[in-house]
Amino acid sequence: MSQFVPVLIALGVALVLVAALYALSAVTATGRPVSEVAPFAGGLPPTHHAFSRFHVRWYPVTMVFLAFDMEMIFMYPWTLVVSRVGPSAVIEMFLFLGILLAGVVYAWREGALRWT
Amino acid sequence: MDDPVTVPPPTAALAWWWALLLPLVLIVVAWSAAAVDAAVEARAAGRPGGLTVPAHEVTRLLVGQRRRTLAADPVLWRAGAVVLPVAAVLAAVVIPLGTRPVADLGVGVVWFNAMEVLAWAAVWMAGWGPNSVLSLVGGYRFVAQGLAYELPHMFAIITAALGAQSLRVGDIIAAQQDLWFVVIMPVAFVVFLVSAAAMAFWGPFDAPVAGDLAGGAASELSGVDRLLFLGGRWLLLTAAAAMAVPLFLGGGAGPLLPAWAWVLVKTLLVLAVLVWARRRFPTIRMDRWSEISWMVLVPLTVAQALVVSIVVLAQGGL
Amino acid sequence: MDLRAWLRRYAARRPHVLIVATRNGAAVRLAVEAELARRDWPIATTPADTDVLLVAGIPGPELATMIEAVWETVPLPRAYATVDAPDAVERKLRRASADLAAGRPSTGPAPSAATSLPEPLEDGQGDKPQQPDEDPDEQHGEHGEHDQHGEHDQHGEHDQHGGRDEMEMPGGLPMADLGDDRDGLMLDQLPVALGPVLPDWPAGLVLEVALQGDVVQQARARLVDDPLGEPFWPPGTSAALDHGDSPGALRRAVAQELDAVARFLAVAGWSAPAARARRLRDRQLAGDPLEPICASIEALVRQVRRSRTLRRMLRGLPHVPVLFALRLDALEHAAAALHEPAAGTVTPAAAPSAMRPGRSPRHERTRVDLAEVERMLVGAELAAARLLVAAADPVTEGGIAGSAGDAHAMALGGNRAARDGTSGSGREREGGEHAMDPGSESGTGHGRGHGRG
Repeated sequence: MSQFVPVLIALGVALVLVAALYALSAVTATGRPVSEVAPFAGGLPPTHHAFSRFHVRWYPVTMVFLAFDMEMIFMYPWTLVVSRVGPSAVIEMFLFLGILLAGVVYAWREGALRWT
Repeated sequence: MDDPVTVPPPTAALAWWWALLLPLVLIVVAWSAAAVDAAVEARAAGRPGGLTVPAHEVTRLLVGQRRRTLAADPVLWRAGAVVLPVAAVLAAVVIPLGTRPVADLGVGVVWFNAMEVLAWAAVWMAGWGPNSVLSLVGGYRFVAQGLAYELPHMFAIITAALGAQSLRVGDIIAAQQDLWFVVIMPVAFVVFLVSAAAMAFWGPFDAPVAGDLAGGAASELSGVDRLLFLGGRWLLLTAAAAMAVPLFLGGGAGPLLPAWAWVLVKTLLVLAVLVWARRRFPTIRMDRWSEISWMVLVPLTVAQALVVSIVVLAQGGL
Repeated sequence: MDLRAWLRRYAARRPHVLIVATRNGAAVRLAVEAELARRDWPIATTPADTDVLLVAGIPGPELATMIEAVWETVPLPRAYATVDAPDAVERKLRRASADLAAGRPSTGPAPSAATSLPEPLEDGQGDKPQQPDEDPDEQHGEHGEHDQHGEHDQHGEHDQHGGRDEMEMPGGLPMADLGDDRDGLMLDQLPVALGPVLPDWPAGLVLEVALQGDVVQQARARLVDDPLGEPFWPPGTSAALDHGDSPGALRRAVAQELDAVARFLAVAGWSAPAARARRLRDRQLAGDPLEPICASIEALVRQVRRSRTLRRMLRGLPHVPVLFALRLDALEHAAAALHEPAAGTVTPAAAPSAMRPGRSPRHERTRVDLAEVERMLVGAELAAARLLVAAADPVTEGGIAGSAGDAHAMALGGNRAARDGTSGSGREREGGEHAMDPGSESGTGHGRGHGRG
């Protein structure tokens, strides 16, 4: 775990620097922060809150992505043992990837990767 | 950066106080890249100068007033701006500044990847926070962008790790002593550069903060918040460019110059390519790029990984 | 204190300028953009990133109200400048920078007659911090005005949709409500007014859209009520190009096309050639020698046409590829007409689309009107919508002057009016009709075959 000590130090330094920047700007900034500024969309004030249920038209892509993302969890440790396990490791992994890619091709054919 | 006279074992980390210097090193490199970028732009426009542009920009953002929009979500919004530079610094801890990194993690490659992905959250939060339509659309554009660039990116990184059969960045450099990985895995290298630009919403992949949304996810940020967000973007780009050096370009290997100088030179070269690409291409929108990314880049990187794994098997058999 | 003053002076050497172009301010806007490019001062894209708010031209009461609202949202330190003549640009910019450097409070826009603000605006106090607690008051002032004509309407509208308005929402604004989506889903529909202060946006255009996610479900375009001056651009359908009018008019015609192309490229996120087109435009208007400019224009058009990335990004977008090809053709024609004044109708070899006999540049140099833009926008994403508006480049200056006397354009307009008769909605149609050029790409087009002589 000691290898993570420098990481913690770097995190601390980064946070201290960010805090220092905020502190500096508190001194150097012209005027205190303003609040309740109207958001910008071209000059007219908003009539509705922008927070809304956003129409995520690329939702099917997220599903395909999640499948692959899970696969990555297997692939990281796999890299360490390829030559130790031998050809069977390569065959199994790329068969698995091949199946996933077939899924991608299916999703593509169904139009999941285009949303305009 | 003192170059050690005796070559240390490749797995050792730098002294702990380098962790204090790391953010500054990153800032200096990013600053120089930004200055050169502005100078190139000024030259293209037939103007002199440009080198002082980062200084002017930073100053005016420090002087600028901070603001909060109507019914904003300040926690997510500010967090978005802060996470970006912090994630860049944390990603950079595993990059060898010469022969040794600040933190020598056994899972360095995974760590780098995990820290980069924070940008995904950061930009979305910055886009969501201000309760502004243009900003919100920008944030969601980046989520869609992440879905497209992230997988090829991970395959590219994993291919380098596969070549060395280690997730430790030092081992990956050591495995390139005879041959840089860019030679045996050119596809992975190119994909890494493309996805690095996309991750830092840079260059042709700047749709999340594009001008057609009046700045998109960054459109409501002012003052120091804006400085953190846009500065963090530069740091992220720099960290990604620097990571290409140990993964594909042989780390600090090179004649004459010390290792740290080679790392610096190679990092700046990669940054130059990324900066050039921004001027070269129009913005690439994800409703087009997703298809290319999934149907071309993902299969290509998988094929690249297959080739490399066969090479690894062949080497193991010898 | 000293540090702050020093930093402020340093920052003021390169302020970001947000340009609000009025419908009568094209000449001023061009002068401002040229001067900013010369000084290397960036053009701000949003009030949050603005140091100098610059109004180019004379705003009408409606735009003046919007300018006040924008000014409210510009963070300190800030300066305000109005420029109503091109020759005042340099002086005003120098003064704005000096004001910023000295930390002099900027008065901001004077409250216009149209707004009945209960209290005078008191911002721009320079060094004096804008009090966080005094700000909500200001906002209330603004919202008071709002209440009178905005909120009640919305509530009414809201009730029809299903009345969630009982809840007290923060900021006094309602949430977006459900509405039918183009894909047949029930989703939140967010009414948004885009413009008129967006970057690379036609002067004075307000686009009221209903957004679901980033898809435009409804669009209504209108123009703000600026007093109209003499139009700066030569009217799109004038006979200037054919009858060898003054080289000044021809130069302006080329500059107009360069401006449109630059704007489109900027919206497409390709800043380098956009900046190049703007530089060429400025040199053109400054009266630089023609030869090198025309050569550069040709090179620019070639570069843009050759870009596979751009083509890929535009392909399949509704109307955009056709309209943009038209813009490029128009630029080429205008440059050719300028280059060889005696041969206005001689087409350059690089424009195969212009090979048809009887086509003359005047047909190419025409623009899409607002009702048409409005119709084309429905179903487009925000990015595509921005590209569409930029490619259509509707004429927003000079009232109706654009259309008179072009039979061809009239015929086209008539055709379309018959088809979309309902969408006219009684606003002034700009008249400057477009001639669809089949050009190099045909896009999806939605069966829009007109213009193919």
